[in-house]
Amino acid sequence: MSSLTRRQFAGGCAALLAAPASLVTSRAALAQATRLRCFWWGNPERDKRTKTALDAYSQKAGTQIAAESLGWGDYWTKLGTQTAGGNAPDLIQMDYRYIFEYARRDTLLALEKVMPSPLNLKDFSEGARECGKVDGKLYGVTLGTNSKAMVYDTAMFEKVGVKALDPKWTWDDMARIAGEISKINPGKYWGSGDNSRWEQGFEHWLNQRGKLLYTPEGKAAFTRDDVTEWFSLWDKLRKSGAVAPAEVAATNTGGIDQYEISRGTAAMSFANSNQVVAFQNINKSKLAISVFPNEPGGSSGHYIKPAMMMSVSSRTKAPEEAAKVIEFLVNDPEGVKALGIERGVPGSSAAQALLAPDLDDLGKMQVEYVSAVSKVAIKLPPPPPKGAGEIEKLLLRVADTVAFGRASVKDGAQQFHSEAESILARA
Amino acid sequence: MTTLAREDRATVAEGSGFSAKLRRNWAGYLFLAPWLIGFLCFTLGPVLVSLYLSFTKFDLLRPPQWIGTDNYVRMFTGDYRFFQALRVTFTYLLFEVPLKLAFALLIAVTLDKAVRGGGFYRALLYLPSLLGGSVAIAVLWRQLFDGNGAVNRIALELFGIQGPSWISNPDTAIYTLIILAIWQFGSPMVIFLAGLRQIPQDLYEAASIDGASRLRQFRKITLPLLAPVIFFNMVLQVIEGFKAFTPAFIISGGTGGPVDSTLFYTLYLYQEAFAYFRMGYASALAWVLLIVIAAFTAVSFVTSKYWVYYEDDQR
Repeated sequence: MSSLTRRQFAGGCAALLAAPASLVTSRAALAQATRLRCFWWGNPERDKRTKTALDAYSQKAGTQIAAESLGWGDYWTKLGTQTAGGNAPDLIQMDYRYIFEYARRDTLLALEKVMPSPLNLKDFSEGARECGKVDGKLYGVTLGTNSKAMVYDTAMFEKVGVKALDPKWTWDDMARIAGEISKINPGKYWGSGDNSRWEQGFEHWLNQRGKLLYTPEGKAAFTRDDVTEWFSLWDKLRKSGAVAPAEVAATNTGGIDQYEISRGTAAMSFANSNQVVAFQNINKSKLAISVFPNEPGGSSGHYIKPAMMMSVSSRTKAPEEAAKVIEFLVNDPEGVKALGIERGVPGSSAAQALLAPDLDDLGKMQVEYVSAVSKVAIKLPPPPPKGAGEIEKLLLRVADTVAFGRASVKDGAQQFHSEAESILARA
Repeated sequence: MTTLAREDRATVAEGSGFSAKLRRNWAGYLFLAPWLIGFLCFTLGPVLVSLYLSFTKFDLLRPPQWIGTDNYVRMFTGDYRFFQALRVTFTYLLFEVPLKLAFALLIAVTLDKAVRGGGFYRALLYLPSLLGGSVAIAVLWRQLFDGNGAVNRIALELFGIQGPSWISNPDTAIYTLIILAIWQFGSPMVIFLAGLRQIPQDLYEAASIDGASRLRQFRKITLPLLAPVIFFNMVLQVIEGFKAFTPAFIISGGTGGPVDSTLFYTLYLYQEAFAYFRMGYASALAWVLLIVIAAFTAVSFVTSKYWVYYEDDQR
């Protein structure tokens, strides 16, 4: 090996010095390109689809997008903290429950500023467009619409002689079918999960009777007697053995993998229509969706709602760029196909037509379900008031207290009603 | 002497008091600065802000509103979940601290006698303490004590008993968490081991010559001489017990359920702050917790006079 001359050494050093320097310059160049942050709540399936779509957009437009997702509960915690810290993501997945609160505190961008270009919603049905409006301005673009749906295990239903579930089925039918399923594997497997603790289930039951959960002014629209009736409906089902006992219900913390049907302890669970994709993903047996049991003489109680919306932070540095991403997700064939109907049925008719030929059975089931429900749907109720999230958790707690027999149906109803009112008064 | 005189003169020349001291000790403060800045910005600052926030209504999105002592009044007069959280935390402490210490002491005494492979077993027994606080173990615990979990399956195989779902039963859920905590006996065990090594062996020799049984030796020599170490461990465990959070959070999915039976104080504080965005109320809760922990520690120190003896005590 020849010895190193001083000149060679100097040259080598210069090259070494130059290498990181060139790295630095290319980094700087990248930093100048727009960088957006996108944040959503989801599940593994949704995360995969969303990342695919965002990557496709990055490739095409050269915009860097940092993607992040969390579960429903943690999502709102983190979003609230980031928003308060002036560090909100540019693209925010919004829910109908929260959009009013966020929009009225000026944390979201009114999208009229970026419409009709780059964001154009001409193919959206009026309903799908209007539901993102707060006080007359558009703050969220619907990524998909859904309705509440009962998810059930078809094999179990067939075992008790139910080949095709009649959409006109009633609460009595539900009690009968669930009771029969519970007899197949007694003490291990039940007809249905306990739904008394789910706020949306209670709302649905109220809607069927022409009532509301909250008034447009944000007050409780239900009475103590309503709660008593609701609790006793489930109390009877529980006592007859049709519905899983409190111990099984109490471990359901709301994740899709936590529902009774996913844990293999019941044949029915109450959820939302778009979630059937995620449910099927972790269930071996074939699932289907149906409307909730009907109240004889009542309305369907179902309404079509925006499952998820995409909003833009009012503090984003690049509103145009953010709007382009939304445009890509809801209108560009590539984005629409990547997302599919995991978030629900798209709001744009063009996107629906684009997806229709490639839909699998689950997809078709979901689209047909939403279109069938839309024929009997009631009007979208007013948005839930501030404090509604806390009442959701209150119901969970009180319903469990009743299920465990630590409070009577009447006392539980009294507690839920009075505490809900005091939460709303404080909020 | 000359140095002193020079220093005196220098002090006079530079002016006396704080600035002179600062000038003399600037290098010391400079070395201290990284820690001091960190302490002021990241510890003392937030602590003081939280004291202010505890007198406000603050939901993160809007600026805090001053509401005086309303948060504290509500806590003690109109919040049954606050009392439930206290009840759960005290139940936890009441079982966890004595049982964990007893268990740690038992293992430490056993290990102290075993010479061969002592280091290996010590490491092995310390392992749960490294793992125990993690999310993975909390998830595992959830599986173990579930209705169809391993605990019930073993009970069914061995004794033919079909156990309840321990984790989802409001009567038993807290005890699964206590067992989880006791299992993490590693750090008090290591401290006990060190304490046991400090006890002079000749005391045991003398006692055995006098015919004292092993148990009697333990009661009359080991326990009294170990009292300072037991006291130290107890204070640490009580403080740690008040701060228990992760297992309850994971096992109940953040709800403190079933039916608030695992609603630890810290979990309730977290819910108020980050689920319901009542930062003011949560800050007030945090200050009450601080006062409760301080009171407990003070009481421990005062009562320790009566049961903790130090070898060099002149009593």
